[in-house]
Amino acid sequence: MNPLDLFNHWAFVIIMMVGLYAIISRNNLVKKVLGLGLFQTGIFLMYITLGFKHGAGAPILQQGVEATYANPLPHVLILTAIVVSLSTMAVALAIVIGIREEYGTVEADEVARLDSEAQEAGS
Amino acid sequence: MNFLGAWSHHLPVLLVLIPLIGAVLSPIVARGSRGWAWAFLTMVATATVALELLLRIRSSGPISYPLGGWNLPFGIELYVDLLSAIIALVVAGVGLVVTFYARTSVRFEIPDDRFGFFWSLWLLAITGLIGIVITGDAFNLYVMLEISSLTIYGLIAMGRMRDRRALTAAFNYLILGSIGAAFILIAIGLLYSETGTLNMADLHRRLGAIEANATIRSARAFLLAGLGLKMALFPLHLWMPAAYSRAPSAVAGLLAATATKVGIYMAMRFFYTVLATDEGILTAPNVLILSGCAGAAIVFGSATAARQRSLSLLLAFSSVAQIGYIVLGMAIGHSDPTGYAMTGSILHIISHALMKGGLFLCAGIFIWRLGTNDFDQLAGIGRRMPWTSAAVVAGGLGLIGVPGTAGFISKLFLLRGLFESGHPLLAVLVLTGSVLAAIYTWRFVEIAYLKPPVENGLDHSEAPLGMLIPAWILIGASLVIGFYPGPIIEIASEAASTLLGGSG
Repeated sequence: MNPLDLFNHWAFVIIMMVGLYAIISRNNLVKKVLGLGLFQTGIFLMYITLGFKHGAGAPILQQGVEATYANPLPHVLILTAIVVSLSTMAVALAIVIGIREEYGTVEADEVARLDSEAQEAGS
Repeated sequence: MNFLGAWSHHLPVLLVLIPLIGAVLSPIVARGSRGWAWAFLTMVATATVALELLLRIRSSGPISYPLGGWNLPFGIELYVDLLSAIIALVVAGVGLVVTFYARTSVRFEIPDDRFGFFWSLWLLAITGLIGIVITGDAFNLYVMLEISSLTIYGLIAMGRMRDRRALTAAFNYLILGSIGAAFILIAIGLLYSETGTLNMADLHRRLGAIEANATIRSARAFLLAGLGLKMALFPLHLWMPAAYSRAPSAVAGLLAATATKVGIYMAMRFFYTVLATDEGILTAPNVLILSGCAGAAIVFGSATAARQRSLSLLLAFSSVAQIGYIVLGMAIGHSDPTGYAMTGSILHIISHALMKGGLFLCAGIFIWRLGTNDFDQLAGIGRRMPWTSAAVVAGGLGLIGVPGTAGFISKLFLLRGLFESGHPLLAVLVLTGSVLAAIYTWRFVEIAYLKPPVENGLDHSEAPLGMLIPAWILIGASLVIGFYPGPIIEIASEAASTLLGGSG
């Protein structure tokens, strides 16, 4: 089998891993959110690939034409997942704005330092 | 009891529609203090439907409801069996009681102009949690999971007025929760690619007909990891203590009682129904992983709880341990022919929801009175706020598993199941957890009753009835179950045998 046949599969795994790495390694909260977005986009690509067939067209019924068509169900599912991902982004960014308002920074280590300082001052 | 008339066969969909419509209309029809009345009415209706549904399923078996009348397995199905109905009633019932409590508690924790949105998110979270429980479609489950998760992140972040660290807690939960949900989405996609269906019953049928291959195995792995994150199974619990201790106190009560329980329900549904093929997900190594994590959760959670400096954190780490008990019963459930372990697991979902819900409400009462529930501020509180402190002690006894509490009944079943299935070592872990629970409960007793009261110029009188009554309803219910366990045991063992029968 030609390894390029699985091009989409390689691509979605790589995109997902880049996203996951960004979530883990970045200190900036906005970059973490971007990583999460990338991670979820990888999954969309996986679902869309599931519906793929060689030489298939759009699933539109036409009189007198018999053609193979791609499976539309994964595409419909992923429309929902895109909406979910968009909402996740929105909620995440809203929380980051809140953090920026309260702490004056969006760096994870700065926030942690301010919290531990506040705790020492309190006790 | 049939007051719904012609609507009665729409019960499953009403269970989701009522809180959903309530949530959407909440910011429009109800502003300010009327928002609470609206949310409360919605929850009364939801809880009534959930109760009616449970009674109906007990008398006439599981209900399948094709949404929009589309033929199964192509359309989305709502499928309610006894286990779904029990968990839905726990969510709706505890949700109702906590909504009553929230009337008083949100006034000092949420800015006035946010009330409308708060109740909207609150009802949406309950919609999502109930939706997960009653859906029979794997992708629909993911959507409902995200509805509940996204609203819960928002609700936790609303704790920023009291403690700005609520924002970081919500952010961390959002990142980890989204990764968990994404793993579940990948697993569903892989199962779909192998079977071409999303209906849970149909998935089960088709998976039984094919050999397990690499795709199905990786789907199982993603499910284990994703569900582990969602139910906060040790060592994937890192988001939980901060989220529970910094969220507004009513939200903490709701989350502790219901959110992780619904995660465990998903695990039961996937492991025992969808993936319960000949070579199911509960293979020897997976059982070892699950019971190992659960055992570690019991010991680590309880031991860490005993070292915390505030009541909220103590309760949150105790939840890590209690989830361990529930997962333990579920993991070894299939190797226990008597069904005791699974029954114990389901019973512990109910009893822990009542006890921990009530305890978090008490922790919220201390915050309402003192602005904190750090132990150094709680010294001598037992004499000044006797009813709240007594509720904490009663709940703590339940966490230990003292006879006469709901915790005793569920642990008894769990222990019997562990011995019947030949896991005496795990039974020792369960007992160790109880000893550690006794230590952390004693810490509260010592601080509240034996230390001299602190003088900090704050008002230490008893809490208002609007907060005290709901806390005692939950704690009281767990005591009632402890003294009259008959009906609950009957329902739980029926649900357990249905679940185990499906794995045959």
